[in-house]
Amino acid sequence: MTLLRAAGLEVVDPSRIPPRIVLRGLCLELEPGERLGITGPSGAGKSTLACTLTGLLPPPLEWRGGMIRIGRHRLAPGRERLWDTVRGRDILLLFQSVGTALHPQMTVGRQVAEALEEVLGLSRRESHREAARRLEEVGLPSFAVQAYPYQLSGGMRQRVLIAIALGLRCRLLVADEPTSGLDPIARAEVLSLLLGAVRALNAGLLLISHDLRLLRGTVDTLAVLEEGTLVETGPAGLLLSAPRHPQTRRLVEALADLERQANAGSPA
Amino acid sequence: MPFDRTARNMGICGAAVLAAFLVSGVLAPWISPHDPYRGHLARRLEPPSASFPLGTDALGRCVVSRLLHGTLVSLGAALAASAASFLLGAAVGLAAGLAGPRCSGLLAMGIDAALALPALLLAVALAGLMSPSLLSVVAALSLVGWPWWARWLRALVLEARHREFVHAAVALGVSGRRILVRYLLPQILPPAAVAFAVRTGAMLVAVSGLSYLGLGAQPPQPEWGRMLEESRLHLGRAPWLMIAPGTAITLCVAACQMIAESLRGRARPEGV
Repeated sequence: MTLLRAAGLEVVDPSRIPPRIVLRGLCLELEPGERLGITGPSGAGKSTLACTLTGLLPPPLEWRGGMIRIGRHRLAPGRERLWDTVRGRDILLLFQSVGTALHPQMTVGRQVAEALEEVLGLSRRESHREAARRLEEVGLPSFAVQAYPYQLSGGMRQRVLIAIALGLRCRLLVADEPTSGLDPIARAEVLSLLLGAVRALNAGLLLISHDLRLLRGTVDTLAVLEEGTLVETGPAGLLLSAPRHPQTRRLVEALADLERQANAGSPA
Repeated sequence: MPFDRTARNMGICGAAVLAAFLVSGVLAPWISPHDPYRGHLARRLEPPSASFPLGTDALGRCVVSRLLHGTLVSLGAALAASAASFLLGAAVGLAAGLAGPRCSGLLAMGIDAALALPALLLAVALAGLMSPSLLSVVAALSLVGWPWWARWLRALVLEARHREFVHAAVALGVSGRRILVRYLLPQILPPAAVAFAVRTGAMLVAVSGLSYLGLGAQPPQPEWGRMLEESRLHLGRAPWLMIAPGTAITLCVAACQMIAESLRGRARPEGV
C-alpha cells in the first residue's frame, strides 16, 4: 500500500503583497522501503513541504488546496484536527535543528518515554524501559537516559530523535536536513542510523536536503523543487548523471564545480 | 551558568525578612506587649521607651502592638490581591495564548483596553464604589491587576508554544494536555514566580496606599497604610509613628524584590 500520496498541494503566504505561493500544485508518492530525496535551492519550499506533510505549517503560511493521504488517513485543508491522530503514529518529522528540537528542561530518557507513552499508550515504567532500550539501540551511552540535551553533542541529539522514531515504529519518516550542523563523522553515523531505522521498519523516508553529495548515496529517487513545484523527478543516479531541467543542471554543475575544486586542492 | 551565590544569599535574606514578619504577625496576640486597641490617654504620643518600644500614637495605643497586629492584615491583603489578580490574569492570558490567532487577537485587544485605564485611579474608583473595607480594596486591586498578568502571560505562552522543541514534540505525536503541562508550563512558571514576587511587593504598596486614602482598613483596625495616615497629623511631634509602619512596608517590599531577584537567577536552567 502506498504510504504517502500528496496531490495538488497548494500553500500560500497571504501576509506578502501580492500573496506568495510557496507550494504550487505539488504531487508526491512514497512506497514502503522507498527513499525519496527532495532537493532544491534555498527558498524553494523544501521545509514548507515537510511542515505541510505533517500539518505543522508555521503561521502565516496557509494550506489552501490539494489533499494528502497518509496510510489510510485522508487529510485536506479544513480537516487539520486529524493530524493529531496521524502525527507520531503514521508520520514523523525529524526536525532540522537538533539544538533546539529537544526540551531543555527534560531529560532525554524522559523525552523519549513521553512520546512513547502518548502515542503507544504505554505505562510510565514500560515507556521508560522502552526508552532506555531504544537509546541504547541507537548507540547512545547509558548515561544519556539521565542526561539533559545540553549535555549531549549535536550527533547524539539527532540520535535521540531517531530513537523516538524507532520506538514509535512509525512507517513514514520525514527528515528535514537531519545532518545540518554536524561534523562529517557524526553526519555519516547519523545517516547510517537513519537508513538502518528505515530498513528495520520497512518505512518510507522523505529526506530533505540541499546537499546533493549527501543525497546521492542515500536515496533511490530524487526530486528537484523549484519555486514550489517539482521540476524533475527520477532515479537519483540517472537524474544526477543526466539532468534535464535547467535547475537540476545548475545544481549538478555546482556540485561538479565543488568537487573539481576539491580535487584540484584549492579551497572550495 | 553557575548559580550566583550573591543572588542566593539575597533570596535567603529576603525570605528570612518576610518569614520573620509573617511569624511575628501570627504570634502577634502572644508577643505584643499591649492590647493594640486599648488607648492609654495619659500617655499619648510618647516616644519609644521600655514599656512602649516604638512609642504610642495619638490615642495612646502601643505602636509596636499595632504594627504586629497589622502585619497579617497588610501582608495578607497584598498576597490575596496579588494571587487573585494572577489567577484572573492567568485564566485570560493562557486562554488568549492558546487560542487561535483571531480569538487571541480579540482577547489581546480587550486586555490592552483594560490596561489603558490608569490602574491606581481605577482601583480608587472601584474601591470607592464599594463600601470602604479591606475586602473591597483587595477586590478592586485584583480587578485592576489582572490585565497586566494577562498580557504578559499571553506573550509568554505565545513565545513558549512556538519554541522549536514544542513543535518537535508535536511532530513526534505528543499532543494537547501533555504539551501544555509538560512543555509549556515549565517554561512559563519560573518567570511567573519572579513576577509574582515583584507584583506582591507592588500590591503591598497599593493596599497600604488605598488604606492610607481611607478606602481600606477602617479604624480602629490596625493596618500599616492606615497607621501611616493616622501619623500624618503628628509628623512633627511624633515621627516614630510614621517611621514604624513605613519601615515595615519598605522592608517587606524590599524582601519581595530580593526573593524575585534570587528566583530570576534560578529561573533559567542551562541550555535554555
